Amino acid sequence: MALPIDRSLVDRLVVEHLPAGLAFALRLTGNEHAAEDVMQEALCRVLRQSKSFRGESSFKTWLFQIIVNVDRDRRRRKTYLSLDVEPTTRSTNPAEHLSAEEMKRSIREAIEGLPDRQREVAVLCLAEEMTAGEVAQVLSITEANVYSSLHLARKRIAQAIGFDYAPQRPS
Amino acid sequence: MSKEHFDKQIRDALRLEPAAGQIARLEEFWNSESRRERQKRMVRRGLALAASLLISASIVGWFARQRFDGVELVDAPNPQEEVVPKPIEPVPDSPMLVDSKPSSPSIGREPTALEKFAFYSQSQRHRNMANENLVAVVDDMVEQVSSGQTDPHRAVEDAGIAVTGIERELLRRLARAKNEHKPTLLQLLAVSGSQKSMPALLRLSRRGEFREETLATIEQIFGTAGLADVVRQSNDPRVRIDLMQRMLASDLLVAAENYLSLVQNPTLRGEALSAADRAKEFPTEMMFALLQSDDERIRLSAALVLGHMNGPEITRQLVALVTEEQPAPTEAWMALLSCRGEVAEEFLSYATRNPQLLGHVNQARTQWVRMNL
Repeated sequence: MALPIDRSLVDRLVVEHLPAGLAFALRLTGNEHAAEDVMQEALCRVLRQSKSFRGESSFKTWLFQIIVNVDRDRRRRKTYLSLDVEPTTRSTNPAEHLSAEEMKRSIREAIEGLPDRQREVAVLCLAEEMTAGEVAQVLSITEANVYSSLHLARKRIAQAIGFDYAPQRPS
Repeated sequence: MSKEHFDKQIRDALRLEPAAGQIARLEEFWNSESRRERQKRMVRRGLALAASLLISASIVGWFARQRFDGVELVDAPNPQEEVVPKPIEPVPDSPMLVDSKPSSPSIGREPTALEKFAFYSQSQRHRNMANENLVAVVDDMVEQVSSGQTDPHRAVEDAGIAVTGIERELLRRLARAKNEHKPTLLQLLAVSGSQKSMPALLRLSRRGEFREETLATIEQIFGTAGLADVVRQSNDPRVRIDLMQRMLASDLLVAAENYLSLVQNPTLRGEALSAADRAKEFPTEMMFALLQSDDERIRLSAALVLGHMNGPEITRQLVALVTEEQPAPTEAWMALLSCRGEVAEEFLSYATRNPQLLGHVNQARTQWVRMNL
């Protein structure tokens, strides 16, 4: 069993991965203030749990795991504090009429409206461009789960922005 | 739109980059939190180290006591004795022929002066001897004081033993002594007692039969000025009231100020006013002097007590103060507002009709309301 890594090394790794972690938090929350809050809480947890990091996975994976957990906790609390309005679903097909910016905003709204697991998979696979194996490690799920969540996420986003999404079946 | 194009659209929508300022802020946050965590860890380690050292020292001390309690002390060589030099033994030809047995350096060695001192001070026998001596001395003291041969102060001075030891022995006896011996022990404690005696004395003062003597002992140990602290530590309301009465009975200004500090305390205020009611001679003049103190809290407490005491004489003095002193302290008006009786009512009725005095009355009323007493 690997031993806990040196504390000064943790310091260095945190500073190194801070921009990536913050960018991930920003993509996950969709709000820069919330992202900063999530990152601060995640850093506090890193301090408390630094002994549990033994270098068996990459530091980035470990940090992203913590960020995902903090974001989940934040969203759970938020459900008690405020009532979020579900993003509106477009039933027609106005995709071609939307400008590029409007399209981006619609996609972000659609992602925000996804269930936690699907949103996390979508951000990790599509925005962070992680492999299924890495995503599975961050979210502690199987690779099959990653694929199915990603499929559902794509389908919902497509539905939300009025895009006819028909995945090609593997031959 | 193809699947790749769709994914690209999602990727573009999620291409959000954090501001440089945010990263800098988080880096600063991490550095400060990390530093604080390190400091906390160092403090924890220091405490753990200190605790382990303490435990090891006590274990070593305990073993040393166990081992050396049975050891007979070796007499130190008398310097007066003439030292006879030992004849020099012939050196053997070969060290191999000498019949020597390996021995531990500590076996058979004479202890050094420091070791003797350490063994002697740790020795249970020595401690027992010291205790026996202390018991005998305190016995003598008690006997002499109870028979009136000497006064307690002289008895303690002549004992030739540390006062702390005498106090410890007296406190030990006080808990077990018969009632007829307790006054003598209290007299002796009054001249040898310290802060350590307070819990035992407060316990004894709960018993009505010894309250007077015990409170006198407490007053002698802590001084009249220190009685306010004793009041705060006592659990018995009767003892607290009696102590406050002692404070009021003394002619010391500092005792009266301390009494007023107890009046300021909402939990003790009722008992303090009750003590004033029961006081044989209420220090009216001192309270009037404190009504003009520099400290506002003292002035307000004095007003509260004077208003509570009421009475025609106090009312007349207050009327004289508010009409003759310029400017009259608001607290005097406050005390006057609390007074009841014909004189007070008549004057206040006049004051409310007089434009020059009405302002003072209203100010005093506002102050009472603000204090919410």
